[in-house]
Amino acid sequence: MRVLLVEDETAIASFIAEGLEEEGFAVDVAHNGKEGLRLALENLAEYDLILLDWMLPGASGIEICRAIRKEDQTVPVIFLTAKDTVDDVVFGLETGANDYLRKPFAFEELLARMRVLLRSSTGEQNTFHYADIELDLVKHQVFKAGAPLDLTQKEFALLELLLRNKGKACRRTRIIEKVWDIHFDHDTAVIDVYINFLRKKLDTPGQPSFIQTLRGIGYRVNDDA
Amino acid sequence: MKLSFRNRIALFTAAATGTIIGMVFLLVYGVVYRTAYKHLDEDIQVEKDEILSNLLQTKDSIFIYSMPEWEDKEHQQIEVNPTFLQILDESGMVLFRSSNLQNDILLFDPKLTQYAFFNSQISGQRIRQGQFPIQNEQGTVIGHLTVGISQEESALVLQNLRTTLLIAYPLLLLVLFLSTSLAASKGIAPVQALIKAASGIGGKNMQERLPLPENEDEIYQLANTINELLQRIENGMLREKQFTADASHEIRTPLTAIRGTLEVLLRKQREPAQYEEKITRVIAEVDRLNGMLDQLLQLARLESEQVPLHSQTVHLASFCKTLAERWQSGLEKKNMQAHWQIPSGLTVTTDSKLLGIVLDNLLGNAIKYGHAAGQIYCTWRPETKTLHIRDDGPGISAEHLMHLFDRFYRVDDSRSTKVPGAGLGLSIAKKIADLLGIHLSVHSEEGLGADFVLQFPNLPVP
Repeated sequence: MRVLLVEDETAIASFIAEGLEEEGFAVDVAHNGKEGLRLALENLAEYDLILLDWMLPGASGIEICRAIRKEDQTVPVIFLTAKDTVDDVVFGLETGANDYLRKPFAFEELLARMRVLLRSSTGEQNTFHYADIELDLVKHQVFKAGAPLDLTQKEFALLELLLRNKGKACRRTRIIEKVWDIHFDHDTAVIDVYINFLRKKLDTPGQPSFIQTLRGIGYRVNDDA
Repeated sequence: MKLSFRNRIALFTAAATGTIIGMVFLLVYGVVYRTAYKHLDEDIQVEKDEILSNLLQTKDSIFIYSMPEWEDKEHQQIEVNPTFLQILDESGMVLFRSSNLQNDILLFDPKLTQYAFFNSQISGQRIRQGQFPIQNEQGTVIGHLTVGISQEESALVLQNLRTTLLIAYPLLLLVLFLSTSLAASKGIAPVQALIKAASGIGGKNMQERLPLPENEDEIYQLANTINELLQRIENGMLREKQFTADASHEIRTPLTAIRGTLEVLLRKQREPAQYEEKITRVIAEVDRLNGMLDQLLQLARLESEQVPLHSQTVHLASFCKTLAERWQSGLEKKNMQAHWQIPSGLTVTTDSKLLGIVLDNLLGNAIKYGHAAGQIYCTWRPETKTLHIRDDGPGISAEHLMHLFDRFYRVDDSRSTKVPGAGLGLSIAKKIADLLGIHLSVHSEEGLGADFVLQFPNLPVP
């Protein structure tokens, strides 16, 4: 899951980015309106969700939201703002935002609202299965044969991407886009390392791996047999 | 009794006009009254002269010549224009009386020595009578002649006039009151329309204005004045709203950072170094919040004008020197230099503590916005008696210049942490300067630095 965060206050941007990364999101941060507008319009298809501050130097959150809605009607947008009157909330939502969080907000609430929006934009699914492997988005937990497993953020995000696209090939470039953020230097060898971590933790010994390697293309988890 | 405005106008007009009309009525009645009796009295005089010419008065005897006229109808009957005659001698004995008098005796006042006219009644008829003394050759009064004529006609005319005037007067007053009230209500109808329109303007539709009449009359001026007042109120409300929004933004931003940083930090176990870093960041945010609350409180105190002034003589040069020492580390951090050019003998009378806050804010501002390794000039100009604090920074464009002293106004518009501060320093400086009677202004052009000017009041001529 890749998220664009447009927030000029570095102290706020950094805790949101860190918190979301710990939850397995890839986060791109823009520190002013112009940069936010540029990132949003250049990479719109790659973002699963966009978090916008309202009052920004360069271009306001409202302008960015309008520009996004011109291009894409579906990508979820959440306003994070200190503007708190009913008029402000209504105006923000009418601009095309899906949700509105008043500062200061609880990080847990932000996460919960993001999950609701992501669930409805990708279907109602909260859990993904393959054989005896279960990934629970709400609990943010992976189970193998019913027993909880410890996965790192990147492992979790990678597994989520593969299971979401069960039966389809996940191209290496797509994996980089969705799991790693924009500052990653596009050395895709890191994908192989993380695929190996997943295989070690989740494969049933003595059976072929649940992740298939598509040489030169990427990886795939098959449909259940 | 509480009267409406229109009825008050009507009452005043009716009272004033009613007094005048009343006086005119009285005058008319008086003139008619006098004229009527003057005619009667003249008739009596004519009659008297005619009778006297038929009398012979000698010594103490009065001889009455027989006259065919005595037998005239007017002396016989009493119905139509009768003329009554009566001649008495000095002792009051009746010498002659006209036949129409019958048993009635004309009133006689023996005390009268001069002739006189008065009113009386005979057989239910109102008459006017004149009493004349009859004198002999020596001028001694030897008898009295009384002539009476009917004044029924004149009395009727006068009575009719009186009745007409008495009935007409209250009617006239009533009509006057009602018509003035109607006219006044027509006259103040535009005012009432204004009242209705103005009372409809409130918090929700503050941007609405009163319709201006086409005619540029007093009503137009009133509406215009109210509109200007509404504009000022709206501006004030917008400023307050903006202030509340800005203040809430400035307070919520560090609060959000503090809450979020701590919340994310608590989500799992971390290395001690990570705790240290995050908590240090939180403390910095708390400091920022605290600094801003201090400034807000200072502004609130300044605006409520509960700041006591302790005026004293301040030696500007040495005062600025201590100030400069305080800012030395700040200057060095940006590798900037400050140049002080203030004559050593110069004194101003002001509150030194408050002046210190003003200069601190201006100097801090110059350091904050000036270029690194730039220069700051603090100069006294004797010809204008002004203190200048000038930097060679990026300057301020005209659109920002006019808002520079507004609360929370930030030229960089970013609210970012690039240049710290909430945009309160300059508005505090301006408020204090106003309090001290110092005129604080700023001159700047983009790219040419900013020049803050302090004009001190009541400076002695050097």
